[in-house]
Amino acid sequence: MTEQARKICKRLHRYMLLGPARGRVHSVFNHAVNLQLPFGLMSVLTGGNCLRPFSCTVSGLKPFPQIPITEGMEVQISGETISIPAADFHVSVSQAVDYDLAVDAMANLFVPIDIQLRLRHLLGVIESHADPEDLSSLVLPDTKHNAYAELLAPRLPTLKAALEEEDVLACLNTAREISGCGVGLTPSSDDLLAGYMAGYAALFYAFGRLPARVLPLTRALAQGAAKHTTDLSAAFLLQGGEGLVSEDMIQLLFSLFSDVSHPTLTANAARVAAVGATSGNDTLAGLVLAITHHYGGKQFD
Amino acid sequence: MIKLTVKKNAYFDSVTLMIISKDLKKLEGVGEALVGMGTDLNREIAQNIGLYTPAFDEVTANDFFVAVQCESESDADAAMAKVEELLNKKSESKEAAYYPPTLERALQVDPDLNTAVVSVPGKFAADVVQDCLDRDINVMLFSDNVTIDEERALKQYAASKELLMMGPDCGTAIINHVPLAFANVVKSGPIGIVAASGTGTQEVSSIIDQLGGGVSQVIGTGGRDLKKEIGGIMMRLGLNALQNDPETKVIVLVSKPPAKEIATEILQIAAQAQKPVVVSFIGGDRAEVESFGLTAAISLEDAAHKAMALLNDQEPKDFKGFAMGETAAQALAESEAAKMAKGQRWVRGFFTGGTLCDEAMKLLIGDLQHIYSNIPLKPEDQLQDARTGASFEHTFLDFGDDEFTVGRPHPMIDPSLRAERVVTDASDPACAIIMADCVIGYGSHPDPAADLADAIVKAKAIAADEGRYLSVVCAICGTEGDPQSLSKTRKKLEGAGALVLPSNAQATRFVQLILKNVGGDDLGAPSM
Repeated sequence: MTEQARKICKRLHRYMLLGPARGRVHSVFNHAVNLQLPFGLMSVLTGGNCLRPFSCTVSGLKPFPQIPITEGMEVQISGETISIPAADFHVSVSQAVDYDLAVDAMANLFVPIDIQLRLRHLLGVIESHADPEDLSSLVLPDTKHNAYAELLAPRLPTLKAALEEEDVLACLNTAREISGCGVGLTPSSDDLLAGYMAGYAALFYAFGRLPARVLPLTRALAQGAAKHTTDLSAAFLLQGGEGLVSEDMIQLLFSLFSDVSHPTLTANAARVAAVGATSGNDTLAGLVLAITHHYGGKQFD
Repeated sequence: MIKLTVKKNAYFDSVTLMIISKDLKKLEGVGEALVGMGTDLNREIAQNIGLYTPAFDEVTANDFFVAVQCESESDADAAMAKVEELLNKKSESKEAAYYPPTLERALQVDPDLNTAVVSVPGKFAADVVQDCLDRDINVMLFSDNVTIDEERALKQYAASKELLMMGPDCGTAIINHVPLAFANVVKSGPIGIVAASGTGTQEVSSIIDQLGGGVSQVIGTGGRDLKKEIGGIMMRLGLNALQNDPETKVIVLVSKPPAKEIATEILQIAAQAQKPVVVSFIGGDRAEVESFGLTAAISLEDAAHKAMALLNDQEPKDFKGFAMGETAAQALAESEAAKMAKGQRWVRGFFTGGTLCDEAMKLLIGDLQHIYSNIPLKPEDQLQDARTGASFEHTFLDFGDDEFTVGRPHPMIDPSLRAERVVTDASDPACAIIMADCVIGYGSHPDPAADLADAIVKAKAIAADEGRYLSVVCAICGTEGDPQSLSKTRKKLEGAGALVLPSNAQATRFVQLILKNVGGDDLGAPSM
């Protein structure tokens, strides 16, 4: 039986249409299976998940280990179908709705007059999701650092400076000093960096800067970081470096750089914060850090 | 000693890794522990916190590692056994029984299903509800953040098919004697309720149960149903359903005061019913209700009393007294006020139920003039920064409002923020009374009284240390049959020094009595 995907990352859809490809199942979780293909890592997610870069969602699936899909199985991409023949698992994306997950695709971004207040709402969400093992202390005042934050805090000014100077080489170097630190399969600092890249890109797109000036820097950050972390996290970082973010993050960025209501903003932030164990909150912390660092150097009042 | 375990090229999700990390640190004999992927920086941290061993040199970024510092070999073995246990538990869960993840799959398991409770993020909810309605399935929509346009469209569609679409943000219903979401264990009986209020419905149905009655159906509509934009679509449908339900002998309508034109339409429909109807438009226009020949309630408790009276062919009379008797209540209130120090004058109401907070304010506002709140009765009484700021004069807070629930469970599930506030306000020398609700039943915290009782003990101690007396007045919303038990809950609160009244309305009237007995001082008389 061929399952129908409901949503697909537009970029992934385009890559799939380039021609047939073969790969392997990289890793299997209850609600996500990651596939290693020549064009990078892609994911098939169960229906309740938010769409992330290079993924598609399929409703009505059993947990993947029960199908059963296992690591190392062969994967085939043919036309608009993803197949794992050994598990008799086939997904067609022909009916799926394309979602553009690129930050630069968001039209009409602007820096709202109450951006500082909006950031305070984000801090409220971060505070309410804070965990002793995450990196929230990097943005929350009067909070004690854990071992990870202790290590990272002195390295953040270099990250800020590299981007301020628009120095690609410095971005490569500083990212490797930050990535792969913390708990989780995607270590906390990678999530922080992903949020930071998203926040930086969105802020400068809101200022009217062109992708040609922003993307080389985020790509350099991602490439520098990717060499020093897990395969899976590296893949996600590289997607982030290309300016791709999850569906929930797109919503959050839009509600941050627009005049939508504060309850909508906090609800969107809470959805991002709820991802994984600490991933979501670390991503939010990165987003807040980026805007604090680069919004005219202005700190929270 | 340091023990390092490495699993090569192993992937475990972040939540599993976090659980392992936290559980390891709780083990006896374990000093420091680090769990993670073997990236450069994680290995650097292992070194920084004294967990480095030469074996780390072989660990790569895609390897999962656990490093522990233990007092002995046996502690290390126990720690590693714990890690294996947690990892195995995870793989067992992958083998767990099949739970249908979608409506389609659920209907394959049981094609006769006809009611769904939908609780998904708001932005996805409309699609899910539409799927249910397309399949002729009634819906209780627990999710919020559904737009009013979506709500109207879904309700119009549901009504065209004579299906219920209860919600959005509908927390309470009892359909064919099956409680859904936050509901109480009430006896079955002939009183049907249609309500646009969660805790309001719980209060009415619980009191009916306490009075020896029972309910046939409780149909929730969602808080916005009686707004002009929705036009009371579900309230009408619910009313019709109860009129046609042979089990229902008396109907109770519960809601905040609706838009004027909607109220008139609903009252017209109710007036045509062949059954007695009690209307509790909390704080609404009594005369208007009575002009339609319907029975108006002056409080949620009064609605329950009047429904019981009508059921027993008695004349419904306003219930505005005290179960303990007027004289006893007056004496107790005087005694509470007499223990207070000079300057104590304000009441602070901290609620987990929004309707209970609203009802208490409406019963008190005539005397107090201003009650500052995050859900104020008057715009000028809006309390700024309700969550992080301080209370001001008479302050009533609904801890279930958005400001308090972003990123947190509803306070009926996690009442800890409310408990913290009880303790915080005890330090205010002008605070005389703390009023609090305690909502029990399905869905609520397994023991909400424990949290509140601890806070009350601390609050009273803080006041006593500073030479003051803090009066704490509580009302429990629930029944003896609830998992938490009404009597056990009352005992806990009374054990902590709270005065527990049988209903929200009685607790509010009792607070009113105490305030009338609190004297003025050099700071000026209370604003009553």
